[in-house]
Amino acid sequence: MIERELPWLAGVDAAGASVTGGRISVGGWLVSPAGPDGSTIRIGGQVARVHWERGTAAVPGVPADWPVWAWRAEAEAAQPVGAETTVTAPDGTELARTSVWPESSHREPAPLGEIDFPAADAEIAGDLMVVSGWLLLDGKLPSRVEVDVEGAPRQRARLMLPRPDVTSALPGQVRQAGLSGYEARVALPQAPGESRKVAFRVHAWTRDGREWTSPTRYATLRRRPVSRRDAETVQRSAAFTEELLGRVKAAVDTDHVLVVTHSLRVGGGQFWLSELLRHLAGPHEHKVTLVSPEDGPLRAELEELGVTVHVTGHHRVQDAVTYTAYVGELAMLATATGAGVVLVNTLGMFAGVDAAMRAGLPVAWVIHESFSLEDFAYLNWGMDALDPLVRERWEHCLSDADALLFVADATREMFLPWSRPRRCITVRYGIDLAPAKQALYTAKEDVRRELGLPERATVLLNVGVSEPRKGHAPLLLAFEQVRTTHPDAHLVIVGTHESPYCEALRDYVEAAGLGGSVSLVPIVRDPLPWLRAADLFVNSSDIESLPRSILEAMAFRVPVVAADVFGTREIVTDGESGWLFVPNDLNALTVGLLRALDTSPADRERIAERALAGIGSFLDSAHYGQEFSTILKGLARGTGTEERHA
Amino acid sequence: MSSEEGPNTPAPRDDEPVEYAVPASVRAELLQLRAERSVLMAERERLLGRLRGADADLREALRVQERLAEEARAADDLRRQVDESSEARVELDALRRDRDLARQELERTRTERDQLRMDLLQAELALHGADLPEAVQHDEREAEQLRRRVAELTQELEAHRQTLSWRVTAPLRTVRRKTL
Repeated sequence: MIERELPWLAGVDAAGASVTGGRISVGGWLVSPAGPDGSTIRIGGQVARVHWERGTAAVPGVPADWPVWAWRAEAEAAQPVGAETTVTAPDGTELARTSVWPESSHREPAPLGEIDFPAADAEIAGDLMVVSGWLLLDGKLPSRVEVDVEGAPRQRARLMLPRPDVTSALPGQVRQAGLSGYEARVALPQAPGESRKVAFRVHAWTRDGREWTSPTRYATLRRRPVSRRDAETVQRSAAFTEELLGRVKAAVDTDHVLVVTHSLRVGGGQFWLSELLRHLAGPHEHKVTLVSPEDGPLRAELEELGVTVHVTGHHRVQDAVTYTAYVGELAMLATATGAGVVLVNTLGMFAGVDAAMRAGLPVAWVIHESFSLEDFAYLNWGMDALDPLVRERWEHCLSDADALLFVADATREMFLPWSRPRRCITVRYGIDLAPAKQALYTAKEDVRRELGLPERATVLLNVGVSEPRKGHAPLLLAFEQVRTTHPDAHLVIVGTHESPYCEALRDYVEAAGLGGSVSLVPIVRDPLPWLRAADLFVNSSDIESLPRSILEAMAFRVPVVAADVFGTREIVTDGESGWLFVPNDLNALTVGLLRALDTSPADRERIAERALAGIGSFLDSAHYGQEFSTILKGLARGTGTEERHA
Repeated sequence: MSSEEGPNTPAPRDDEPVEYAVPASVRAELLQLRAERSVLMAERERLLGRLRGADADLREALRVQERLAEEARAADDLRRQVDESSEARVELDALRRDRDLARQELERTRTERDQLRMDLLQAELALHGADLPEAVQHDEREAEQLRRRVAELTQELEAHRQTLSWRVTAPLRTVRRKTL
């Protein structure tokens, strides 16, 4: 009589699972009024082979007189670890569903992933070790991943890189698998021709703080040697340049600046230059000639300012002979223009510095990038692609340039070993403050209506061309966590475009059901209305020198939550004028958002005011232009950077 | 008039000098003395020249001494500055190391704080009934949870059996069991 009224119940003993030859075996129990016949157990969506046994031991909590069946199921084919096990009643009702991680324990999570690069005992060209792969711990994304390479400080890996291949390998199993990629780049400086064998391991942590460590692997790094023939050719070419330079005669104008930049296309570094030249060519009355290897929309804007623009085409850094010839031609051009000083923009445009030095002109070099030379060379020219002789010239340029100008003290400190302290100067970015002042006259609600944002929401804003280093994927995951306790929060990411990374972001928003509380906005020329609409600005980039977007947010009196990287800590004091979190750490980012959201609007307002007051001394770009003009005039008149120091 | 004085030889006047013949031996001695005097004069000139040279050398040596003393003082200053600079550099390096250690400590503290806050968030999420970031349970904990779950289900089942709908649909279940 009792059996007729018994429910169907089932349980999966996930902790007792095991894997043999890729096949998962897992046990459990079933309370079945009609016996086990007709019940189905699936592992990873596939019907498993099941051995049933009438339960002799009582299942804890189940009355002893209930008909309990113990079962042991084994997958018919190999299944990925983390596959879901389901128990279904004969009528199709799902009785239990559990992910199975046979190796997981309360101390160490079960890993699922691969270190794709480097392979064990790999031979690597160059002096930079890129460690990349994908990893899930207990089927979820790790909170942080660190790469430990012998002879280098342990380094946090960039997280949540798109891995569509993993998604397709684990169909329907793990929602976060598509963002399970990670990558760390570790510089191991060595001389040309040298090689070095190193051990490395990967450490990762779950969101509840459990650690997993990979087995140790070994790899050998080898830098290509200098070609003696190339070295002789380069020497002859340099001598020829010197001879030709002796024939170039031009009257030198100390107010004439020759600017050498990397590109005239739309981008952060270019906007900075355009803003600077507006001041130099305008109020400070410098004559400006600009040389760029790449043309772009900025050209018209600069010509309107009275700047003479000369586009040369790209030069090769992979080949020392052609590089030296390019530098020679640029040196002759520099001399012939009659410029009294050269201003070079970006770390990669060292050919401009080299040319200025060959022409005997004083040179100031603006370095925005907080990358090691090894890392920068890999990102721009590929693995060990930079000719060792060119690399030598690059280092020579850093040590001999008359002035190295940085946007943050942290970046200055990074490059200090190459140069001398007096030559290394920090000049922080300035921005045009007028739009921020004007925007404050517009009501936030009106702007939100225009932008299609919820009027009453707490809007978190991130602005930046979407790419892995901007940390948009971790931001989405962190936001997903906090929105449960802060349901009125709305996240806006401005800067998406057509790319695999943005595609992965869109997929995640859809899969996680975040569509109603997340807006992914394509790149806009003017992000200022979004700043006006925001309650909090979030900068999740894992590498930044001094983000202009943070300065703009501060100018708009929007409090900032930012990753603690390079110059960010110079403008944000944690808890005082914003909130800082450890970069490349999902837990830290989540907590950063929580701390900001837990702060009352009145306190947030006070924090924003303190932030604006803290950067007031350099925020206006007019001061920035003045500072550059002083430095350039000092160099042109042979007083070096003394005028500025005075 | 004496017979020895010829008639054509004029007699010397009282105011005219009388020439005497200098004996050869005296002339020779005189010549020698003159020669010696020339040699002595030359020697004197040479010695005077050397004296002047020595004097100039002495003055130069004094100048060099002064310059060297000055350079030594400058070198001392420079050495002191270099020492100070080295000390400052060492101090700066030590401060940087301290700062880096402090940053590492700060990072560890932040990580601990973040973990605690995440635990709190998990608790908050549990209160909201949302999906938790899953934590792997120890066997005992899992068993305990399982016991609780079954007990809850049992209670729920008992409560459900008392509902009107359960009792009303009892015949339907009977039919269903018979058709299985």
